[in-house]
Amino acid sequence: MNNTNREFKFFWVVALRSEANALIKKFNLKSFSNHCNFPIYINRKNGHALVISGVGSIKSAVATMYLNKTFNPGQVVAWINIGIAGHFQGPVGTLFQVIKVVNNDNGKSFFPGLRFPKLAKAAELYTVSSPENEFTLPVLYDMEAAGFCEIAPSLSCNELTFVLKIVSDTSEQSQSLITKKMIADLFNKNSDMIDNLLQAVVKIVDRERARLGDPIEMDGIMCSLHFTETNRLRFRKIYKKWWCLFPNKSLADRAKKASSAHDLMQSMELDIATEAQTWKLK
Amino acid sequence: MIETVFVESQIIDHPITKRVLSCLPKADLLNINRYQELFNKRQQNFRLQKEKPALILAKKHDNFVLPAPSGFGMDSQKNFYFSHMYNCIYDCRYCFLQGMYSSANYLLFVNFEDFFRSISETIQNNAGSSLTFFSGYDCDSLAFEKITSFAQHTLSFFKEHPEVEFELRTKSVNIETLLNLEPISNCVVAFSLSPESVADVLDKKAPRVNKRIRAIKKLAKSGWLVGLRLDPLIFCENWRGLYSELIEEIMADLEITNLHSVSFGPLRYPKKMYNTIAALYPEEKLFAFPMQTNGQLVSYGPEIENEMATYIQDELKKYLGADRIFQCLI
Repeated sequence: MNNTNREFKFFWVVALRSEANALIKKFNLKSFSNHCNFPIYINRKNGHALVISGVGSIKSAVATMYLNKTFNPGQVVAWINIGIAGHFQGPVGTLFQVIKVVNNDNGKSFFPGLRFPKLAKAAELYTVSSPENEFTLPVLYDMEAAGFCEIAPSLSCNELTFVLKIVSDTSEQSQSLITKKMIADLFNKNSDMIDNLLQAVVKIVDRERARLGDPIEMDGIMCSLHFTETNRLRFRKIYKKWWCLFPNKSLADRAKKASSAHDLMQSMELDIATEAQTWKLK
Repeated sequence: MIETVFVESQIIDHPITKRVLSCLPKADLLNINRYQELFNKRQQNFRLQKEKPALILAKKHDNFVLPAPSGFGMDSQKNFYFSHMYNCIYDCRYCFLQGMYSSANYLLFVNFEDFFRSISETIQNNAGSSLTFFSGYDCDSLAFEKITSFAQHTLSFFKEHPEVEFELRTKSVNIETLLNLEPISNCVVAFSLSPESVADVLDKKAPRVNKRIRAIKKLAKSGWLVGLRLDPLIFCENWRGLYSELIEEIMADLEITNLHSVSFGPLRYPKKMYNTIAALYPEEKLFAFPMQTNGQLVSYGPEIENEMATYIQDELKKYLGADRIFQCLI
């Protein structure tokens, strides 16, 4: 048994309060805590949690770890870094799914997320340590994503780590023009696209949870009989096989009658061995 | 459908790169320095990645030709294999590639010329020995042919080296390239096969078995040497009947003189690989079977393995001599 919190499916890491406000409003998030300069907002009903990291790659990495530590969500959640970014071309307001992130300080690259080509355009992004005005490369520029990507995949997996950026400034349209209202407008403009992306992501999260999760009755059985640590692992293995073969049977009644964990596992192995005599592949 | 292509900057102008990219005009294209930046990294979810694999075009720098594991080949003195690609567009549930890399992305090495140079060196270094080179160990040799033209290049190369044998292993029915060429006497096109009802469950995304059989017969009729690879043998209810039917169906109307060899092999995994694959597919009945672990090897166990091997061998002997039947044991 573990203490993983499965209430949450989406973990947002954003740099700016004005970016966060758009999401707080959109997902009806409530303040959860405000320690360590990392304010956290959550909505347990719709499964969203958000942390405001502040500007910079290191802060983004630390905030990601902090949010994870606060809720211990387990490995099957989506981690999303969303925010505004500069782009060599624009147009301002375009939302990109970033599929390559380069840390401009050390050249290290990351390739986050399953790609959704029908939902958002793809882009490469450079994370820089000071604001970019030159836009010398045909890419996006931000100040956080590399730090986020350094940490988030190790908390979940690379395919459930997403970086989404909305173009806020270009070589033609200076970042000095960015205001809180403009950021709110940029997020509002892309609200439907964000919803579509989340719909696609949640399907994956739900499927992965179904695949990797333990059968519901397993925890109860492990509480009702004495299992050594070794037997717990063995039981989990046997149970998954048994469940795969007999998805419509319940083990709870048999567990009540079993004299020991060993007995129960032996009877399950016997079921599997009997099934093997006339093995059907489907 | 490939939606994203990553290309190593150093091979962006390579003719094979250009050919591949011209076949995928709608894909997002990104440059990378080395394929190791994203291939087989930790924290990748193979199963999710397998849903939408990206294509990585790269240059291979070493280890172009490797000795084949013992028990892999037929009766050559020395067997070698080479892999121009890692990972497969098919998704066969028993395939060891699922446990081999943490990435499901396709990695294509475009510098075919370096493979051929290395194969030439291997031939020179083993002059006097009978050699067989295998392709299709880490990928399917033909499945990507329309994009890569790998088989076309490779067959042209081996045509110039009649002193060695070359086996192109595949499940693809993409045989136009071969049918457009004159058969090459030292090249064998070997198809992996299972009974139809087994393949329907396990050979996901692969061509149906009846289509593979049609392709085999077409190739044999046009003069190509063909091989049958009943590997891995899958145990299930009525396996005898299923394998007998399969063999009968293949042998009917097959240009038997062009049947180079038939090999069969058991379902076996290194223990670590089996655990990795079984964890990827906990809902898959194939991995719920009470397999036996013997040392570091997971298999059906000697009883089932021997029974299946003996039966398959006897069935095959109805159609061809023992000199063309081989048991693989890796």
